[in-house]
Amino acid sequence: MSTTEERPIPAADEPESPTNRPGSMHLVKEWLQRPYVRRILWITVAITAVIIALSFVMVAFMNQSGGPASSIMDEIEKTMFVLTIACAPLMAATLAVLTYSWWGGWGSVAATDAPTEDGPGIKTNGVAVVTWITICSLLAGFLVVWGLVELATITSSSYGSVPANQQPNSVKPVDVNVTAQQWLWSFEYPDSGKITSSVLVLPVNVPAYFNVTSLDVVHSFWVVEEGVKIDANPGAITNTGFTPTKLGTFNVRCAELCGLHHAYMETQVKVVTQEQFNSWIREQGGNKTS
Amino acid sequence: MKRALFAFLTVLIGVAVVAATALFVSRNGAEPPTLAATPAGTAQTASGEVKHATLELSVFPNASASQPGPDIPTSTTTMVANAQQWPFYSPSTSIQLPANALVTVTIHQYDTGGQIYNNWFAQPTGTIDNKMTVDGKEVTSIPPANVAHTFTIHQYPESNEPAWYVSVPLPAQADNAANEANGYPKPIDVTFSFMTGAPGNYVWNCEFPCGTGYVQFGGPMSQRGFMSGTVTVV
Repeated sequence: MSTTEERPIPAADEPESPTNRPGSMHLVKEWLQRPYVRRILWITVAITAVIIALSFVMVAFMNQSGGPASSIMDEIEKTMFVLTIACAPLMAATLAVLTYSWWGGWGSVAATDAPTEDGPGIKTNGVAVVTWITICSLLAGFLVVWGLVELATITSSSYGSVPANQQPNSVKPVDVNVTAQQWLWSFEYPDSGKITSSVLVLPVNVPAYFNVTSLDVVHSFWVVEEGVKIDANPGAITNTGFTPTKLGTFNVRCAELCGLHHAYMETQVKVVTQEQFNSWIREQGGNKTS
Repeated sequence: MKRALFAFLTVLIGVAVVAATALFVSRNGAEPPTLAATPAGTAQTASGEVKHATLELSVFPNASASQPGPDIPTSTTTMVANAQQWPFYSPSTSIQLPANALVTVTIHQYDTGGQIYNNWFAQPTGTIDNKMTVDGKEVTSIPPANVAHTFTIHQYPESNEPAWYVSVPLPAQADNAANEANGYPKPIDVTFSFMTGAPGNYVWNCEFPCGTGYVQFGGPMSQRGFMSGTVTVV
């Protein structure tokens, strides 16, 4: 092994002679050549591929009843998809090490050959610790920022922070008073002669604003494919809203355990054209259309 | 040997717990015997001639010698005694109706009542022309402060069956109504008709807070066989 003393000192205008200290890329290449590293990496790649495939299945499963039917649900699905994809490699790496260990990848020692003395102490690998913490921190930071931005977007779209009459919409929202009780929903249209229905009917591409309450216990007003859910509390009114962007029939469910027929406390939301909505209002005896 | 015995006992106890739970759930989940609507020939409706069937139900304020009331399969003596004071639909809460037919239901109402939580349930909805008759007189609503019970059909979740919703309020007996020989007052007869659709499974329940506890939705409102049940369209 050469030493500093043995090495000739280069002239100031000459490049320094290479040393025998391996470069960082060489270290990485050497690390990648190790059999166990290659096996774990292959397992990581395989599990990542499975997770990504499952994330598509997850979205397809969420949409089997016709959603997304609003920009809110679009954002929710996008968030779930992106966060799943972003976390997939890290989750896969963790599972890969577990899988490799579970299958005895590190080798095994027969009971008769068990060492009688302690081995050398395990030393911290500074590079590994820094790499792990950096990746996890970046990922967590990404999730927080993405989540906050999406939360602000969704809250704005559901009138969560701005009253309906202050929303930057050119279209007047359809107001609906939602009443929950064991174990049915009823919907009153205060601007259309206070007609009441057991089915929620809304015009497409028109904002809908909901005043939600309960007559007995706590329920939760969940418009599944529209991506909106809010508690229905007795003696109080909670507000939410959304703009349906897709024609069709979707589901309204109770999302708070509320008694014997909680599981049956559901109804439909029918998103129709403005003309169909006007006709429906007239058929129900309403005295005004939006 | 000792370890094997403990392992065997552990498995045995686990099996016993699972079996007991399954038995409890099975007995409590059992529905009353099915009450099928009686065929009554055909009827002329707005959509043409269809099958017609009739169904007769009663609502009693409590059990008695003449009306024993629903059976509570798994319960204590105290629970059975309390349940004797619960209102109940009779003769069954498991109803079977023909598909794509006109069904005429008559309910004999014997119970007192009061103010319903939601006035909307004081009007018949989903019946022919949203009407019903009370003791032969046609009405489209009853006073919300004088409701005894409702008979409200709605659909199962997660189902592909068409949406179906029928709700009928039942007027209350006067608090001082005199009892007849059977221990109950002269019934108020409510009759209404509705159309059934394609075959499917639905539930019905009362929307009047006629139970005990839990905002009057406990007791008979939380126990199968009293104020709620199933509707099977076949």
